[in-house]
Amino acid sequence: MLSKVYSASVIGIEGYIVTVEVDISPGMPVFSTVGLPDRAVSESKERVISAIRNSGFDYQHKKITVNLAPADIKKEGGGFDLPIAIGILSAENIVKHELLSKYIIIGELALDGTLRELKGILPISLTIKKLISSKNYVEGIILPAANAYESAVVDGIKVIPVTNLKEAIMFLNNEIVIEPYKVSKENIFSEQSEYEIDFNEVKGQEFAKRALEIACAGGHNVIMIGPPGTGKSMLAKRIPTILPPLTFEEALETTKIHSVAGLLPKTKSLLITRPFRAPHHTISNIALIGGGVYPKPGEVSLAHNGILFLDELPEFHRDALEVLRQPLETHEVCISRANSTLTFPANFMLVAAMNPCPCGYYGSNVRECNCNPFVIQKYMNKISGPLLDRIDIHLEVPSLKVSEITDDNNTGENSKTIRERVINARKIQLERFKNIIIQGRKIYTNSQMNSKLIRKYCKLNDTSKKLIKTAIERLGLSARAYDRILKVARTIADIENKTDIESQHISEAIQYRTIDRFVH
Amino acid sequence: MDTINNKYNLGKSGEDIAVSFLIKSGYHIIDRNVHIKKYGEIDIICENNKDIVFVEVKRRSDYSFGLPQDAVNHKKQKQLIKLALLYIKMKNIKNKNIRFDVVALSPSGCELIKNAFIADKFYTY
Repeated sequence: MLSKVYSASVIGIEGYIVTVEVDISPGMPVFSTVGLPDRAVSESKERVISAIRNSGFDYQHKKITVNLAPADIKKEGGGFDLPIAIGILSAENIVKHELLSKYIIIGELALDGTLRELKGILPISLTIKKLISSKNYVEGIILPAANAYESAVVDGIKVIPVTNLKEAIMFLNNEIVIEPYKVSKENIFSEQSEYEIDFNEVKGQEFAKRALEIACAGGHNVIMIGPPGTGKSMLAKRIPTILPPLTFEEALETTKIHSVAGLLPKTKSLLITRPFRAPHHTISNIALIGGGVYPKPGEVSLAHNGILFLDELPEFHRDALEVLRQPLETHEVCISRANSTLTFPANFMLVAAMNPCPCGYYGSNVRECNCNPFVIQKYMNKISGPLLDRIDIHLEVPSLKVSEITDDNNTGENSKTIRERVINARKIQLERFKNIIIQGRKIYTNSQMNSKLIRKYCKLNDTSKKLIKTAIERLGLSARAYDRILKVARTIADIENKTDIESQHISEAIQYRTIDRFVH
Repeated sequence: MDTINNKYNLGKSGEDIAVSFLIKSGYHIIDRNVHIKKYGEIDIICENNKDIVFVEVKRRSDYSFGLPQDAVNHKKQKQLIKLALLYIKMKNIKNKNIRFDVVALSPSGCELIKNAFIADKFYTY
């Protein structure tokens, strides 16, 4: 007897449908799995056989051939256990065939027949939604109960949570009714993220706070340079508290990546706070941008729609820093391997922190720097010009004055107030870019503008033009730096609710390039 | 010489015990001690629930060398699968399920292990 069950798996961060065909014929007792299974899939027969027996069904060894189509994509993971088990039982006429074509079935089996949760459920659910909307016969998905909340975020598909093999079979045989699992999006989003940290805990550094507010409002990249102990890391950790909450589309995109990487918290169906990724400086370039034989997303993709914080920037491997160039420019990474070429989204806000020199006190008014000029130059040269050019805001975080250190009153603004301004500025940007799609991807912030959009939305008046000309001549800024200044100026104008960029916005934006001078 | 003869008789009588046990369990005996040149011998071939069953009989008079069923190891399984394939070809058996059972005879009694192993690792067309 032949039976056909539909399942799904993930390639990169996109789901695809796999047809599991099971043929049982008389002959030598053999169980063979074909269709490019990896170890976890070919080992699944042991789990499947034990699970069937331990669920109270009679399993007789026969000649069983399992085919996973399409045959040319390598199948990974334990998600095929349940469809194979159901395929065998339906080939033996224990499971009825009617419902099999209506549901995508996935799940990893334990030896006792219970189901274990899987990675990458969200991308699969989104693929099923696409299938349904293209007038397909598919209605929903049968999956382990532990994954139901993740899948149910996608509306329009029936999510059938099952806890074990027996339950799945009873459902397919119409012996029990399982209500489709539902979650309300409003509930997920109303759970406002409460942070334990706040911006007003950082003493002084009002200039830096203002710059970070601008950076958050427009999604600009920031580099903070300053001596040790001035609050660079402290500031960076608090950036998520002033970023606006994720929109639903952004949340889906980010959750998709975290779902594939298996980093989704167990009780959460969607990431409602922006990711803050702070990899250690020993990170390899593969871990940073993604890769592997079957490419997996790296830190830049995990930081999608959030923050990638690189502390001690010059300590990173040079090649690891250079691979950042492409994602910083195009907001995605394209990973090519012999087996496949994949594109991962990587629209992150880069926040870097570094000392001005190896000892850390160059240019500080607190302590004298004991590095010689050659060492300082070498330290600075570790960060290449092209990388620095892609960072919109260069920020000096100076040592605190004694009066600021000893002042115990939190006089600074709290995160909530700053966040409101940021949200407002982002609203203006969302409205502006409502109908704009660059290379098939929606854009949300000023930092994502390409040069065409910059020409359109960053028109300057005569005073501003004169100002920026002088700045370019005096500071020796590159053409790219010019674009960056315009983008930052646009964001400052948005924060102040102005429709046009004015000269004070330009002059503030130019301030955030002055480290160009410092480096050269 | 005496001991070898003893061993042979022990095995031979063990097979007789196994046959009567199988008949009692509802098996229909088709063939016994099928010898195929170069490859070896199949102890018992029988039919049960329309399946062709190849039975290997193992007997231990005590446990000093472990359980009898443990003696049907990787090597023995490989040999039995080869023999089974040859037998199927010789007799031109088609559209039947094939099964490998083991009858383990030990001082504590007689045990029938159905579906003792499958042909996965060794089977090629």
